[in-house]
Amino acid sequence: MDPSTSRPAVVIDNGTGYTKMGFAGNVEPSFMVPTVVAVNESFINQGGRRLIKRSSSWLAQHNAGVMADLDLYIGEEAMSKSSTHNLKYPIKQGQVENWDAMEHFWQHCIFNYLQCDPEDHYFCLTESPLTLPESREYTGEIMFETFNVPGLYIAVKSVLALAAGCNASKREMTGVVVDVGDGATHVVPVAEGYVIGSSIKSIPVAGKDVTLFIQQLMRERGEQISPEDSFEVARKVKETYCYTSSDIVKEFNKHDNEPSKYIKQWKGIKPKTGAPFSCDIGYERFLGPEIFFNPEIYNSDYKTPLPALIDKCIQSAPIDTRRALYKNIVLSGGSTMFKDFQRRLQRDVKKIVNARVRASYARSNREVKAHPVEVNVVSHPIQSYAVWFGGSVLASTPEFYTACRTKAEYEEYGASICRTNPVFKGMY
Amino acid sequence: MSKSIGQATTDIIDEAITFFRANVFFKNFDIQSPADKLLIYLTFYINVALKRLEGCRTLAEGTKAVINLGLEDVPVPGESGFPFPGLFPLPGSQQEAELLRNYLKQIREETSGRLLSVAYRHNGTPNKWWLAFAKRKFINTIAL
Repeated sequence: MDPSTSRPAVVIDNGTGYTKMGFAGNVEPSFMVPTVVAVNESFINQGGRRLIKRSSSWLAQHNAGVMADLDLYIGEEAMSKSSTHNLKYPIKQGQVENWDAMEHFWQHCIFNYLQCDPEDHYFCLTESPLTLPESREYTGEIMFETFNVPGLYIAVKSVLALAAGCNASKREMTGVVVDVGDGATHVVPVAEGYVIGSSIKSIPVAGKDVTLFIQQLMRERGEQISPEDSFEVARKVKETYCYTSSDIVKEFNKHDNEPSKYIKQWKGIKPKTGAPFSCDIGYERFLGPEIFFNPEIYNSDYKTPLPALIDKCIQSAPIDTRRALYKNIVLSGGSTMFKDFQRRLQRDVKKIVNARVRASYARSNREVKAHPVEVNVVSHPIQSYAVWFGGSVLASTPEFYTACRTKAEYEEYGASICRTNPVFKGMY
Repeated sequence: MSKSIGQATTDIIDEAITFFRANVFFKNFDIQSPADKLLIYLTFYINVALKRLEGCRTLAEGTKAVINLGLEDVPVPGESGFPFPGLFPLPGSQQEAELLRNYLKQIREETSGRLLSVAYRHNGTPNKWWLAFAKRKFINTIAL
């Protein structure tokens, strides 16, 4: 009996902002770290300057490279070393851009954080919808060649998010997954476990844009925050204080009338001087999440609000799946954790759908009355790592090991086997 | 989307001020009536007025700045200084243009007065929750 199938699989969900990693069968990820690598490039620069004697400079460069590899940090440690090291973000907008950094990142994840031997565990990684097949090939190559894993399954994030669904006994495999992450937002319809690829929609507004918008608003108001720290402060403000409002004009009035209840204080320490500072947080609390519902307040090129996009996506799906899709709109991703996000989204989508039903009723001269369409936006407390949880659930079923691509297959056929993902059969 | 005009107890100037902080972010408006067009013009004017108030630390200075703004020329639709070419129909005659100019001048004065009461606190210091919007640029493209 293959020893690696008796050990739990390793599930790593790489996102633009955060990476969630852990072992299958667990309820929550063991580690949730920012997807960032800090390299010390001063070594490499030192070596490069001596170009006179070529042979000694090669050795110096090689040593510099080795030293640079040893002096690498990922995650929270990397953020704290931002003054001495260069920060690299390997994943942009859901796609891996810097494979070198990604390999280092995985190396540290496996050996430093999870502290397991990759040869002993099957791996379940995740990918964004609409990833290039070449990307999957590179991933497969890195996993099989560098880490020598016995088996690999690259899952689509949306299907995992659906599998994580709130109902443990009956898992609905039909629904629309609204995945709002740090770098990209995707609306993906899934019917009976199959992703309807032609209906996938995405918008260029995501968690990072909310942070940038909040940073901009605070800067316009002249809050006393040191410029190098302002992005981090904006991010923490977003995660702690932001909420979704039902109507921005009414919210402005509420803020004006009861400042003590709505205006919060943020206290921090300046990184360079160590002096404490405090600033006020007011209307950016609700204007931040508002950019999902009115993107033009942040980005003048893009106008479609998220509820309209979800509706467009479902309308482009096959007609017999539409009611089921409306009934199961699942939220996933850290940026859906804003308070009341689910209620606002449900209200707005319902409004669009009801308007359409009314219009068609009027057009048919009030003869054909359709059943009202039930719109349900599902949210649950584990939204920020729902994808990881789905992976954990999937990787703890026995069918997982048969669905994986094994090392033997890789050696026989090459990296191109990773281009396709077998549909997972035993989920029901 | 901008909001259209409502009840009789508050007038259009109150509405423009109440909705200003929300509307200033938008660049596309759904115009259903001439009142909406006036709302857009007033939103633009409030933005201009706030920019003038940017350096003024007290209510007295602010009042002076706003009075100066009121003394400047008021362009009407058709003239080169008017911010929204094509939004309003052009005045038919010189008399109509003068009538329109006077109307705009009056509404601008009234708006500045009410704006001062919200932009400055009771003790005369500037209210940063309003003056932050002086930095916002109300650039607009109008979808009719």
